[in-house]
Amino acid sequence: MKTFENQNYYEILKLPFDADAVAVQRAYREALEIYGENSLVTYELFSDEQRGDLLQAIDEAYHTLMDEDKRATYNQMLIHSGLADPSLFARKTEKPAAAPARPAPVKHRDLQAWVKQKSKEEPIKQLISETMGKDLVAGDDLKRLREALGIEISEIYEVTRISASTLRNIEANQVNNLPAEVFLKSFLKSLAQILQVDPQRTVDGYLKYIALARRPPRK
Amino acid sequence: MMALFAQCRGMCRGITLRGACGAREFVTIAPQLKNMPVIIPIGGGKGGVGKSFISANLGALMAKRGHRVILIDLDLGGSNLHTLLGIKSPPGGLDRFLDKTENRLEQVAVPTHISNLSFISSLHCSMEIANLYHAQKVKLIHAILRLPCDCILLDLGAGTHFNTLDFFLTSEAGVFVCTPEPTAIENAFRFIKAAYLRKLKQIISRNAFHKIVKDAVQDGGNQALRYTDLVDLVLKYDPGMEMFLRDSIRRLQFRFILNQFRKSTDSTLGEKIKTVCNRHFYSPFEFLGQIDFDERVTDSILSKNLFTLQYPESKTAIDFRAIVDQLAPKRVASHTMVQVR
Repeated sequence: MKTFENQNYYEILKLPFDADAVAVQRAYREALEIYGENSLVTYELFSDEQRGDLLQAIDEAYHTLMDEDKRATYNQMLIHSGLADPSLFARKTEKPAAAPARPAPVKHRDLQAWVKQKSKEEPIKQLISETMGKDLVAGDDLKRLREALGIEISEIYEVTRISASTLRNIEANQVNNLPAEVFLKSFLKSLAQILQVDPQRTVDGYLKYIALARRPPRK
Repeated sequence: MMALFAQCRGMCRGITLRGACGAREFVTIAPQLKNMPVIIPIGGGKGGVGKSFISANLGALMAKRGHRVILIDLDLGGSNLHTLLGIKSPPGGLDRFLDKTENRLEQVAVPTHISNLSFISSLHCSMEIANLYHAQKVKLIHAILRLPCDCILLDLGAGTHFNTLDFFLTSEAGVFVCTPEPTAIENAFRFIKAAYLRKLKQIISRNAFHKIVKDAVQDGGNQALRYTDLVDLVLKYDPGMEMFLRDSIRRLQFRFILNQFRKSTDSTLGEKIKTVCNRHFYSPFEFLGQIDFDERVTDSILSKNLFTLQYPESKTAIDFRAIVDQLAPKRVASHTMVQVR
Protein backbone atom coordinates (compact mmCIF):
# COMPACT_ATOMS: atom_id res chain seq x y z
CA MET A 1 0.00 0.00 0.00
CA LYS A 2 1.58 3.23 -1.07
CA THR A 3 0.56 6.42 0.66
CA PHE A 4 1.61 9.98 -0.11
CA GLU A 5 5.06 9.47 1.37
CA ASN A 6 7.72 11.39 -0.54
CA GLN A 7 5.16 13.21 -2.62
CA ASN A 8 5.16 16.96 -2.70
CA TYR A 9 1.99 18.99 -2.37
CA TYR A 10 1.63 19.34 -6.12
CA GLU A 11 1.91 15.60 -6.59
CA ILE A 12 -0.58 14.92 -3.83
CA LEU A 13 -3.18 17.09 -5.52
CA LYS A 14 -1.96 16.04 -8.98
CA LEU A 15 -1.35 19.60 -10.05
CA PRO A 16 1.24 21.21 -12.28
CA PHE A 17 3.55 23.67 -10.53
CA ASP A 18 1.90 26.65 -12.19
CA ALA A 19 -1.68 25.70 -11.30
CA ASP A 20 -3.86 28.67 -10.42
CA ALA A 21 -6.18 29.01 -7.43
CA VAL A 22 -9.19 27.66 -9.31
CA ALA A 23 -7.31 24.54 -10.32
CA VAL A 24 -6.10 24.03 -6.74
CA GLN A 25 -9.64 24.33 -5.47
CA ARG A 26 -10.95 21.90 -8.04
CA ALA A 27 -8.19 19.39 -7.31
CA TYR A 28 -8.91 19.65 -3.60
CA ARG A 29 -12.59 18.98 -4.15
CA GLU A 30 -11.81 15.98 -6.33
CA ALA A 31 -9.37 14.59 -3.78
CA LEU A 32 -11.99 14.86 -1.05
CA GLU A 33 -14.47 13.07 -3.28
CA ILE A 34 -12.07 10.17 -3.56
CA TYR A 35 -10.49 10.06 -0.12
CA GLY A 36 -13.41 11.31 1.99
CA GLU A 37 -14.79 8.97 4.61
CA ASN A 38 -18.01 8.36 2.73
CA SER A 39 -16.46 7.91 -0.66
CA LEU A 40 -17.56 4.81 -2.53
CA VAL A 41 -14.33 4.79 -4.52
CA THR A 42 -12.11 3.97 -1.57
CA TYR A 43 -14.64 2.31 0.70
CA GLU A 44 -12.68 0.29 3.28
CA LEU A 45 -9.56 0.54 1.17
CA PHE A 46 -7.66 2.30 3.92
CA SER A 47 -7.60 1.87 7.65
CA ASP A 48 -8.94 4.82 9.63
CA GLU A 49 -5.40 5.80 10.47
CA GLN A 50 -4.25 5.68 6.86
CA ARG A 51 -7.25 7.65 5.70
CA GLY A 52 -6.67 10.22 8.43
CA ASP A 53 -3.08 10.66 7.29
CA LEU A 54 -4.07 10.95 3.65
CA LEU A 55 -6.75 13.53 4.37
CA GLN A 56 -4.37 15.49 6.54
CA ALA A 57 -1.80 15.56 3.76
CA ILE A 58 -4.44 16.69 1.28
CA ASP A 59 -5.54 19.45 3.64
CA GLU A 60 -2.00 20.65 4.21
CA ALA A 61 -1.36 20.65 0.48
CA TYR A 62 -4.51 22.63 -0.18
CA HIS A 63 -3.94 25.25 2.48
CA THR A 64 -0.33 25.76 1.47
CA LEU A 65 -1.05 26.09 -2.22
CA MET A 66 -3.98 28.44 -1.66
CA ASP A 67 -1.96 30.82 0.49
CA GLU A 68 0.29 32.99 -1.69
CA ASP A 69 2.98 33.47 0.95
CA LYS A 70 3.05 29.90 2.13
CA ARG A 71 3.11 28.70 -1.42
CA ALA A 72 6.02 30.96 -2.35
CA THR A 73 7.99 29.70 0.64
CA TYR A 74 7.13 26.12 -0.19
CA ASN A 75 8.16 26.59 -3.83
CA GLN A 76 11.48 28.07 -2.70
CA MET A 77 11.99 25.02 -0.52
CA LEU A 78 11.30 22.70 -3.46
CA ILE A 79 13.72 24.63 -5.64
CA HIS A 80 16.45 24.68 -3.00
CA SER A 81 16.21 20.99 -2.31
CA GLY A 82 16.46 20.34 -6.03
CA LEU A 83 13.01 18.74 -6.19
CA ALA A 84 11.74 21.12 -8.80
CA ASP A 85 13.15 23.21 -11.57
CA PRO A 86 12.64 26.96 -11.00
CA SER A 87 11.38 27.46 -14.55
CA LEU A 88 8.37 25.28 -13.77
CA PHE A 89 7.04 27.90 -11.39
CA ALA A 90 7.58 30.70 -13.91
CA ARG A 91 3.99 31.78 -14.22
CA LYS A 92 3.24 31.56 -10.57
CA THR A 93 6.19 33.50 -9.18
CA GLU A 94 5.78 36.30 -11.68
CA LYS A 95 2.17 36.83 -10.78
CA PRO A 96 1.87 36.61 -7.04
CA ALA A 97 -1.09 38.99 -6.93
CA ALA A 98 -4.38 37.37 -6.01
CA ALA A 99 -5.38 35.44 -9.08
CA PRO A 100 -8.78 36.38 -10.50
CA ALA A 101 -11.46 33.77 -10.00
CA ARG A 102 -11.47 33.22 -13.73
CA PRO A 103 -8.48 33.77 -15.99
CA ALA A 104 -9.99 36.65 -17.88
CA PRO A 105 -8.92 37.62 -21.36
CA VAL A 106 -7.07 40.92 -21.50
CA LYS A 107 -9.81 42.70 -23.36
CA HIS A 108 -12.33 41.76 -20.74
CA ARG A 109 -10.29 43.24 -17.98
CA ASP A 110 -9.82 46.48 -19.95
CA LEU A 111 -13.51 46.66 -20.52
CA GLN A 112 -14.22 46.04 -16.87
CA ALA A 113 -11.96 48.82 -15.74
CA TRP A 114 -13.33 51.09 -18.41
CA VAL A 115 -16.94 50.54 -17.42
CA LYS A 116 -16.07 50.95 -13.79
CA GLN A 117 -14.41 54.26 -14.48
CA LYS A 118 -17.14 55.42 -16.80
CA SER A 119 -20.04 54.56 -14.53
CA LYS A 120 -18.67 56.93 -11.91
CA GLU A 121 -19.52 59.84 -14.17
CA GLU A 122 -22.62 61.62 -12.98
CA PRO A 123 -24.85 61.43 -16.11
CA ILE A 124 -24.16 57.71 -16.52
CA LYS A 125 -24.72 57.06 -12.86
CA GLN A 126 -28.07 58.66 -13.23
CA LEU A 127 -28.91 56.66 -16.35
CA ILE A 128 -28.07 53.42 -14.57
CA SER A 129 -30.20 54.13 -11.56
CA GLU A 130 -32.99 55.28 -13.84
CA THR A 131 -32.86 52.10 -15.91
CA MET A 132 -32.61 49.82 -12.92
CA GLY A 133 -35.35 51.69 -11.12
CA LYS A 134 -37.85 50.75 -13.78
CA ASP A 135 -40.00 47.67 -13.54
CA LEU A 136 -39.52 46.84 -17.20
CA VAL A 137 -36.18 46.86 -18.97
CA ALA A 138 -36.47 47.23 -22.70
CA GLY A 139 -33.81 46.50 -25.26
CA ASP A 140 -33.65 50.21 -25.95
CA ASP A 141 -32.65 50.81 -22.33
CA LEU A 142 -29.78 48.38 -22.64
CA LYS A 143 -28.72 49.92 -25.90
CA ARG A 144 -28.80 53.41 -24.47
CA LEU A 145 -26.71 52.28 -21.54
CA ARG A 146 -24.19 50.55 -23.74
CA GLU A 147 -23.83 53.58 -25.99
CA ALA A 148 -23.51 55.91 -23.05
CA LEU A 149 -20.69 53.74 -21.75
CA GLY A 150 -19.07 53.83 -25.16
CA ILE A 151 -18.94 50.09 -25.79
CA GLU A 152 -19.26 48.48 -29.20
CA ILE A 153 -21.33 45.35 -29.77
CA SER A 154 -18.22 43.67 -31.20
CA GLU A 155 -16.44 44.25 -27.90
CA ILE A 156 -19.20 42.48 -26.05
CA TYR A 157 -18.95 39.63 -28.51
CA GLU A 158 -15.21 39.36 -27.88
CA VAL A 159 -15.79 38.78 -24.21
CA THR A 160 -19.06 36.86 -24.07
CA ARG A 161 -19.05 35.17 -27.49
CA ILE A 162 -22.70 36.07 -27.83
CA SER A 163 -23.12 36.70 -31.53
CA ALA A 164 -23.53 40.30 -32.66
CA SER A 165 -26.84 39.55 -34.35
CA THR A 166 -28.29 38.11 -31.15
CA LEU A 167 -27.12 41.13 -29.23
CA ARG A 168 -28.71 43.40 -31.81
CA ASN A 169 -31.96 41.44 -31.65
CA ILE A 170 -32.00 41.77 -27.88
CA GLU A 171 -31.46 45.50 -28.11
CA ALA A 172 -34.11 45.88 -30.79
CA ASN A 173 -36.70 43.84 -28.85
CA GLN A 174 -37.04 41.43 -31.78
CA VAL A 175 -39.34 39.11 -29.88
CA ASN A 176 -39.54 36.63 -32.72
CA ASN A 177 -35.81 36.38 -33.23
CA LEU A 178 -34.69 35.91 -29.66
CA PRO A 179 -32.97 32.74 -28.48
CA ALA A 180 -34.77 30.25 -26.23
CA GLU A 181 -35.48 31.62 -22.80
CA VAL A 182 -32.82 29.62 -21.02
CA PHE A 183 -30.17 31.07 -23.34
CA LEU A 184 -31.70 34.50 -23.32
CA LYS A 185 -31.46 34.60 -19.53
CA SER A 186 -27.82 33.65 -19.55
CA PHE A 187 -27.05 36.16 -22.32
CA LEU A 188 -28.78 38.91 -20.43
CA LYS A 189 -26.82 38.07 -17.34
CA SER A 190 -23.52 38.26 -19.21
CA LEU A 191 -24.58 41.52 -20.77
CA ALA A 192 -25.56 42.95 -17.40
CA GLN A 193 -22.22 41.93 -15.96
CA ILE A 194 -20.42 43.83 -18.66
CA LEU A 195 -22.60 46.89 -18.21
CA GLN A 196 -22.12 46.43 -14.47
CA VAL A 197 -25.78 46.54 -13.58
CA ASP A 198 -27.78 44.14 -11.44
CA PRO A 199 -28.05 40.93 -13.55
CA GLN A 200 -31.18 39.62 -11.83
CA ARG A 201 -33.09 42.87 -12.30
CA THR A 202 -31.99 43.05 -15.91
CA VAL A 203 -33.18 39.53 -16.63
CA ASP A 204 -36.49 39.95 -14.80
CA GLY A 205 -37.18 43.37 -16.27
CA TYR A 206 -36.35 42.34 -19.80
CA LEU A 207 -38.39 39.13 -19.67
CA LYS A 208 -41.37 41.08 -18.34
CA TYR A 209 -41.02 43.61 -21.12
CA ILE A 210 -40.82 40.88 -23.72
CA ALA A 211 -43.84 39.13 -22.29
CA LEU A 212 -45.83 42.34 -22.60
CA ALA A 213 -44.59 42.95 -26.11
CA ARG A 214 -45.63 39.45 -27.14
CA ARG A 215 -49.13 39.78 -25.83
CA PRO A 216 -51.57 40.87 -28.53
CA PRO A 217 -52.80 44.42 -27.96
CA ARG A 218 -55.98 44.42 -25.90
CA LYS A 219 -59.10 46.01 -27.17
CA MET B 1 0.41 -47.28 -26.10
CA MET B 2 -1.05 -43.98 -27.20
CA ALA B 3 -2.12 -43.19 -23.68
CA LEU B 4 1.35 -43.91 -22.39
CA PHE B 5 2.83 -41.67 -25.02
CA ALA B 6 0.45 -38.91 -24.12
CA GLN B 7 1.36 -39.22 -20.49
CA CYS B 8 5.08 -39.06 -21.28
CA ARG B 9 4.50 -36.01 -23.37
CA GLY B 10 2.64 -34.40 -20.52
CA MET B 11 5.48 -35.14 -18.15
CA CYS B 12 8.08 -33.82 -20.52
CA ARG B 13 6.14 -30.65 -20.94
CA GLY B 14 5.92 -30.24 -17.22
CA ILE B 15 9.68 -30.44 -17.00
CA THR B 16 10.32 -28.03 -19.82
CA LEU B 17 7.95 -25.63 -18.26
CA ARG B 18 9.72 -25.68 -14.98
CA GLY B 19 13.06 -25.52 -16.70
CA ALA B 20 12.01 -22.57 -18.77
CA CYS B 21 11.36 -20.35 -15.83
CA GLY B 22 13.96 -21.49 -13.36
CA ALA B 23 13.21 -20.77 -9.78
CA ARG B 24 10.18 -18.70 -10.54
CA GLU B 25 6.78 -20.28 -10.39
CA PHE B 26 5.84 -21.73 -13.71
CA VAL B 27 2.22 -20.88 -13.19
CA THR B 28 2.62 -17.23 -13.88
CA ILE B 29 4.82 -17.49 -16.91
CA ALA B 30 2.31 -19.71 -18.66
CA PRO B 31 0.50 -17.13 -20.79
CA GLN B 32 3.71 -16.00 -22.42
CA LEU B 33 4.56 -19.47 -23.63
CA LYS B 34 3.53 -20.20 -27.16
CA ASN B 35 0.34 -22.14 -27.64
CA MET B 36 -0.58 -21.94 -24.01
CA PRO B 37 -4.19 -21.01 -23.45
CA VAL B 38 -5.03 -17.60 -22.08
CA ILE B 39 -6.37 -18.05 -18.58
CA ILE B 40 -8.89 -15.60 -17.23
CA PRO B 41 -9.85 -16.17 -13.61
CA ILE B 42 -12.96 -14.28 -12.57
CA GLY B 43 -13.14 -13.57 -8.87
CA GLY B 44 -14.22 -10.74 -6.68
CA GLY B 45 -14.70 -11.31 -3.00
CA LYS B 46 -18.40 -10.74 -2.62
CA GLY B 47 -21.09 -13.22 -3.54
CA GLY B 48 -23.91 -12.28 -5.86
CA VAL B 49 -22.04 -9.66 -7.86
CA GLY B 50 -22.36 -11.70 -11.04
CA LYS B 51 -19.12 -13.65 -11.34
CA SER B 52 -20.81 -16.74 -12.79
CA PHE B 53 -23.13 -14.69 -14.97
CA ILE B 54 -20.18 -12.78 -16.39
CA SER B 55 -18.06 -15.91 -16.86
CA ALA B 56 -20.84 -17.67 -18.75
CA ASN B 57 -21.58 -14.73 -21.04
CA LEU B 58 -17.95 -13.87 -21.72
CA GLY B 59 -17.28 -17.53 -22.51
CA ALA B 60 -20.20 -17.68 -24.91
CA LEU B 61 -19.22 -14.47 -26.70
CA MET B 62 -15.60 -15.56 -27.06
CA ALA B 63 -16.67 -18.94 -28.41
CA LYS B 64 -18.91 -17.15 -30.92
CA ARG B 65 -15.85 -15.33 -32.15
CA GLY B 66 -14.17 -18.60 -32.96
CA HIS B 67 -12.00 -19.13 -29.90
CA ARG B 68 -12.07 -22.53 -28.32
CA VAL B 69 -13.13 -21.75 -24.79
CA ILE B 70 -13.35 -23.94 -21.72
CA LEU B 71 -15.36 -22.69 -18.77
CA ILE B 72 -14.42 -24.22 -15.43
CA ASP B 73 -16.69 -23.89 -12.44
CA LEU B 74 -14.25 -23.44 -9.59
CA ASP B 75 -16.85 -22.15 -7.19
CA LEU B 76 -16.22 -25.33 -5.26
CA GLY B 77 -19.14 -26.10 -3.03
CA GLY B 78 -21.29 -23.45 -4.68
CA SER B 79 -21.43 -24.54 -8.28
CA ASN B 80 -24.15 -23.18 -10.48
CA LEU B 81 -22.47 -22.26 -13.70
CA HIS B 82 -24.15 -25.26 -15.38
CA THR B 83 -27.56 -23.76 -14.66
CA LEU B 84 -26.59 -20.49 -16.34
CA LEU B 85 -25.44 -22.47 -19.35
CA GLY B 86 -28.74 -24.33 -19.50
CA ILE B 87 -27.23 -27.71 -18.61
CA LYS B 88 -29.63 -29.39 -16.27
CA SER B 89 -27.54 -32.14 -14.78
CA PRO B 90 -24.00 -32.20 -16.08
CA PRO B 91 -22.30 -35.57 -16.16
CA GLY B 92 -19.25 -35.85 -13.92
CA GLY B 93 -16.69 -33.08 -14.01
CA LEU B 94 -13.81 -32.15 -11.77
CA ASP B 95 -14.70 -35.01 -9.43
CA ARG B 96 -13.87 -37.59 -12.11
CA PHE B 97 -10.51 -35.96 -12.66
CA LEU B 98 -9.71 -35.61 -8.98
CA ASP B 99 -10.66 -39.20 -8.13
CA LYS B 100 -8.54 -40.37 -11.08
CA THR B 101 -11.41 -41.86 -13.09
CA GLU B 102 -10.06 -39.77 -15.95
CA ASN B 103 -6.41 -39.00 -16.49
CA ARG B 104 -6.75 -35.83 -18.44
CA LEU B 105 -8.80 -32.82 -17.51
CA GLU B 106 -10.09 -32.27 -21.06
CA GLN B 107 -11.79 -35.67 -20.88
CA VAL B 108 -14.23 -34.38 -18.29
CA ALA B 109 -15.15 -31.28 -20.29
CA VAL B 110 -18.63 -31.45 -21.77
CA PRO B 111 -19.77 -29.54 -24.85
CA THR B 112 -22.47 -26.91 -24.45
CA HIS B 113 -25.12 -25.87 -26.97
CA ILE B 114 -22.69 -23.19 -28.12
CA SER B 115 -20.05 -24.52 -30.47
CA ASN B 116 -16.46 -24.02 -29.34
CA LEU B 117 -17.58 -23.69 -25.74
CA SER B 118 -16.94 -26.57 -23.35
CA PHE B 119 -17.66 -26.74 -19.71
CA ILE B 120 -16.17 -28.49 -16.69
CA SER B 121 -18.50 -28.77 -13.75
CA SER B 122 -17.73 -29.18 -10.09
CA LEU B 123 -21.30 -30.06 -9.20
CA HIS B 124 -20.67 -33.69 -8.35
CA CYS B 125 -17.63 -33.08 -6.22
CA SER B 126 -17.96 -34.23 -2.65
CA MET B 127 -19.51 -31.93 -0.10
CA GLU B 128 -16.10 -31.29 1.36
CA ILE B 129 -14.62 -30.18 -1.94
CA ALA B 130 -14.42 -26.55 -0.82
CA ASN B 131 -11.42 -27.59 1.26
CA LEU B 132 -9.45 -29.02 -1.61
CA TYR B 133 -6.21 -30.73 -0.57
CA HIS B 134 -3.06 -28.95 -1.53
CA ALA B 135 -1.81 -31.79 -3.72
CA GLN B 136 -5.14 -31.94 -5.55
CA LYS B 137 -5.08 -28.23 -6.10
CA VAL B 138 -1.59 -28.31 -7.56
CA LYS B 139 -2.56 -31.19 -9.81
CA LEU B 140 -5.64 -29.32 -10.95
CA ILE B 141 -3.74 -26.11 -11.69
CA HIS B 142 -1.16 -28.03 -13.71
CA ALA B 143 -3.92 -29.73 -15.66
CA ILE B 144 -5.71 -26.44 -16.33
CA LEU B 145 -2.56 -24.95 -17.80
CA ARG B 146 -2.30 -27.85 -20.19
CA LEU B 147 -5.84 -27.80 -21.53
CA PRO B 148 -5.86 -27.82 -25.33
CA CYS B 149 -7.84 -24.67 -26.10
CA ASP B 150 -7.42 -20.94 -26.69
CA CYS B 151 -8.98 -19.54 -23.59
CA ILE B 152 -9.95 -20.81 -20.17
CA LEU B 153 -12.36 -18.93 -17.97
CA LEU B 154 -12.26 -19.82 -14.29
CA ASP B 155 -15.41 -18.98 -12.42
CA LEU B 156 -14.27 -18.54 -8.83
CA GLY B 157 -16.24 -18.57 -5.64
CA ALA B 158 -16.81 -15.69 -3.26
CA GLY B 159 -14.52 -15.03 -0.36
CA THR B 160 -10.77 -15.04 0.01
CA HIS B 161 -10.10 -18.70 0.77
CA PHE B 162 -6.53 -19.47 -0.26
CA ASN B 163 -7.72 -22.02 -2.82
CA THR B 164 -9.72 -19.30 -4.52
CA LEU B 165 -6.70 -17.01 -4.38
CA ASP B 166 -4.43 -19.66 -5.88
CA PHE B 167 -6.80 -20.18 -8.77
CA PHE B 168 -6.96 -16.43 -9.23
CA LEU B 169 -3.17 -16.24 -9.31
CA THR B 170 -2.87 -18.81 -12.11
CA SER B 171 -2.93 -15.73 -14.32
CA GLU B 172 -0.96 -12.57 -13.85
CA ALA B 173 -3.91 -10.52 -15.00
CA GLY B 174 -6.95 -11.87 -13.19
CA VAL B 175 -10.30 -10.17 -13.43
CA PHE B 176 -12.38 -9.22 -10.44
CA VAL B 177 -16.00 -8.25 -10.54
CA CYS B 178 -17.77 -5.86 -8.25
CA THR B 179 -20.94 -3.82 -8.22
CA PRO B 180 -21.12 -0.11 -7.40
CA GLU B 181 -22.09 -0.73 -3.79
CA PRO B 182 -20.03 -0.21 -0.64
CA THR B 183 -20.33 -3.86 0.38
CA ALA B 184 -19.05 -5.16 -2.94
CA ILE B 185 -16.28 -2.58 -3.13
CA GLU B 186 -15.20 -3.36 0.42
CA ASN B 187 -14.95 -7.06 -0.36
CA ALA B 188 -13.19 -6.40 -3.65
CA PHE B 189 -10.47 -4.45 -1.87
CA ARG B 190 -10.18 -7.23 0.69
CA PHE B 191 -9.87 -9.73 -2.12
CA ILE B 192 -7.14 -7.69 -3.84
CA LYS B 193 -5.18 -7.35 -0.63
CA ALA B 194 -5.50 -11.06 0.09
CA ALA B 195 -4.39 -11.97 -3.43
CA TYR B 196 -1.51 -9.58 -3.03
CA LEU B 197 -0.31 -11.12 0.20
CA ARG B 198 -0.69 -14.61 -1.21
CA LYS B 199 1.34 -13.65 -4.26
CA LEU B 200 4.03 -12.13 -2.11
CA LYS B 201 4.24 -15.28 -0.04
CA GLN B 202 4.48 -17.37 -3.20
CA ILE B 203 7.31 -15.25 -4.52
CA ILE B 204 9.20 -15.50 -1.28
CA SER B 205 8.73 -19.21 -0.77
CA ARG B 206 9.69 -20.06 -4.36
CA ASN B 207 12.82 -17.97 -4.53
CA ALA B 208 16.12 -17.72 -2.71
CA PHE B 209 15.17 -15.45 0.14
CA HIS B 210 16.78 -15.33 3.56
CA LYS B 211 15.72 -18.13 5.89
CA ILE B 212 14.07 -15.78 8.37
CA VAL B 213 11.93 -14.28 5.63
CA LYS B 214 10.99 -17.72 4.35
CA ASP B 215 10.15 -18.96 7.82
CA ALA B 216 7.91 -16.00 8.44
CA VAL B 217 5.99 -16.84 5.26
CA GLN B 218 5.72 -20.55 5.96
CA ASP B 219 4.51 -20.09 9.49
CA GLY B 220 0.89 -20.87 8.81
CA GLY B 221 -0.31 -19.72 12.21
CA ASN B 222 0.88 -16.20 11.60
CA GLN B 223 -2.42 -14.81 10.42
CA ALA B 224 -1.70 -11.19 11.10
CA LEU B 225 1.19 -11.04 8.67
CA ARG B 226 0.72 -8.09 6.38
CA TYR B 227 2.25 -6.94 3.16
CA THR B 228 4.23 -4.17 4.82
CA ASP B 229 5.52 -6.56 7.48
CA LEU B 230 6.88 -8.83 4.78
CA VAL B 231 8.51 -5.97 2.94
CA ASP B 232 10.07 -4.80 6.19
CA LEU B 233 11.44 -8.28 6.83
CA VAL B 234 12.94 -8.40 3.37
CA LEU B 235 14.45 -4.94 3.82
CA LYS B 236 15.98 -6.04 7.09
CA TYR B 237 17.38 -9.44 6.19
CA ASP B 238 17.46 -9.47 2.42
CA PRO B 239 18.02 -5.94 1.16
CA GLY B 240 19.46 -7.29 -2.07
CA MET B 241 16.19 -8.98 -2.92
CA GLU B 242 14.01 -5.93 -2.43
CA MET B 243 14.08 -4.86 -6.05
CA PHE B 244 13.38 -8.39 -7.19
CA LEU B 245 10.39 -8.56 -4.87
CA ARG B 246 9.04 -5.24 -6.07
CA ASP B 247 9.52 -6.18 -9.71
CA SER B 248 7.78 -9.49 -9.21
CA ILE B 249 4.84 -7.98 -7.42
CA ARG B 250 4.55 -5.28 -10.06
CA ARG B 251 4.05 -7.96 -12.66
CA LEU B 252 0.82 -8.99 -11.02
CA GLN B 253 -1.93 -7.08 -12.75
CA PHE B 254 -5.57 -6.63 -11.76
CA ARG B 255 -8.39 -6.00 -14.16
CA PHE B 256 -11.91 -5.30 -13.08
CA ILE B 257 -15.48 -5.08 -14.25
CA LEU B 258 -18.26 -3.06 -12.63
CA ASN B 259 -21.45 -5.04 -12.91
CA GLN B 260 -25.08 -4.01 -12.44
CA PHE B 261 -24.33 -0.45 -13.38
CA ARG B 262 -27.38 1.76 -13.03
CA LYS B 263 -28.07 5.14 -14.51
CA SER B 264 -27.88 6.78 -11.11
CA THR B 265 -24.31 5.58 -10.54
CA ASP B 266 -21.42 7.98 -10.96
CA SER B 267 -20.29 7.25 -14.50
CA THR B 268 -16.66 7.90 -13.64
CA LEU B 269 -16.60 5.45 -10.73
CA GLY B 270 -14.61 2.79 -12.58
CA GLU B 271 -11.98 5.22 -13.76
CA LYS B 272 -11.73 6.69 -10.28
CA ILE B 273 -11.20 3.29 -8.68
CA LYS B 274 -8.59 2.51 -11.29
CA THR B 275 -6.73 5.75 -10.66
CA VAL B 276 -6.78 5.39 -6.91
CA CYS B 277 -5.67 1.74 -7.04
CA ASN B 278 -2.85 2.52 -9.43
CA ARG B 279 -1.78 5.19 -7.02
CA HIS B 280 -1.82 3.12 -3.86
CA PHE B 281 -1.00 -0.44 -4.94
CA TYR B 282 2.26 -1.56 -6.48
CA SER B 283 0.42 -3.45 -9.21
CA PRO B 284 -1.14 -1.95 -12.29
CA PHE B 285 -4.94 -1.87 -12.44
CA GLU B 286 -7.04 -1.84 -15.54
CA PHE B 287 -10.73 -1.03 -15.78
CA LEU B 288 -12.35 -3.25 -18.40
CA GLY B 289 -15.71 -1.53 -18.33
CA GLN B 290 -19.09 -1.44 -16.74
CA ILE B 291 -22.03 -3.67 -17.49
CA ASP B 292 -25.41 -2.03 -17.56
CA PHE B 293 -28.06 -3.29 -15.18
CA ASP B 294 -30.92 -4.92 -17.04
CA GLU B 295 -34.06 -6.22 -15.41
CA ARG B 296 -34.40 -8.93 -18.04
CA VAL B 297 -31.28 -10.65 -16.73
CA THR B 298 -33.37 -12.37 -14.07
CA ASP B 299 -35.80 -13.61 -16.71
CA SER B 300 -33.04 -15.00 -18.87
CA ILE B 301 -31.55 -16.82 -15.89
CA LEU B 302 -34.99 -18.20 -15.01
CA SER B 303 -35.48 -19.42 -18.56
CA LYS B 304 -31.87 -20.75 -18.56
CA ASN B 305 -30.87 -18.69 -21.57
CA LEU B 306 -27.66 -16.74 -21.85
CA PHE B 307 -28.59 -13.10 -21.71
CA THR B 308 -26.12 -11.82 -24.28
CA LEU B 309 -27.33 -14.35 -26.82
CA GLN B 310 -30.98 -13.79 -26.04
CA TYR B 311 -30.78 -9.99 -26.20
CA PRO B 312 -27.74 -9.27 -28.36
CA GLU B 313 -28.83 -5.69 -29.02
CA SER B 314 -29.28 -4.68 -25.38
CA LYS B 315 -26.91 -2.16 -23.81
CA THR B 316 -25.81 -4.92 -21.45
CA ALA B 317 -24.78 -7.16 -24.34
CA ILE B 318 -22.95 -4.28 -26.02
CA ASP B 319 -21.06 -3.67 -22.77
CA PHE B 320 -20.15 -7.36 -22.73
CA ARG B 321 -18.80 -7.26 -26.24
CA ALA B 322 -16.63 -4.26 -25.42
CA ILE B 323 -15.09 -6.27 -22.59
CA VAL B 324 -14.58 -9.32 -24.81
CA ASP B 325 -12.67 -7.07 -27.23
CA GLN B 326 -10.12 -6.51 -24.50
CA LEU B 327 -10.03 -9.98 -23.00
CA ALA B 328 -10.21 -12.37 -25.91
CA PRO B 329 -6.96 -13.93 -27.09
CA LYS B 330 -5.55 -11.92 -29.96
CA ARG B 331 -4.96 -14.91 -32.19
CA VAL B 332 -7.91 -16.83 -33.57
CA ALA B 333 -8.11 -20.54 -32.93
CA SER B 334 -5.48 -22.58 -34.66
CA HIS B 335 -6.83 -26.06 -34.64
CA THR B 336 -3.51 -27.61 -35.50
CA MET B 337 -2.06 -26.47 -32.22
CA VAL B 338 -2.09 -29.84 -30.51
CA GLN B 339 -0.19 -31.54 -33.30
CA VAL B 340 2.40 -28.80 -33.53
CA ARG B 341 3.21 -29.38 -29.91
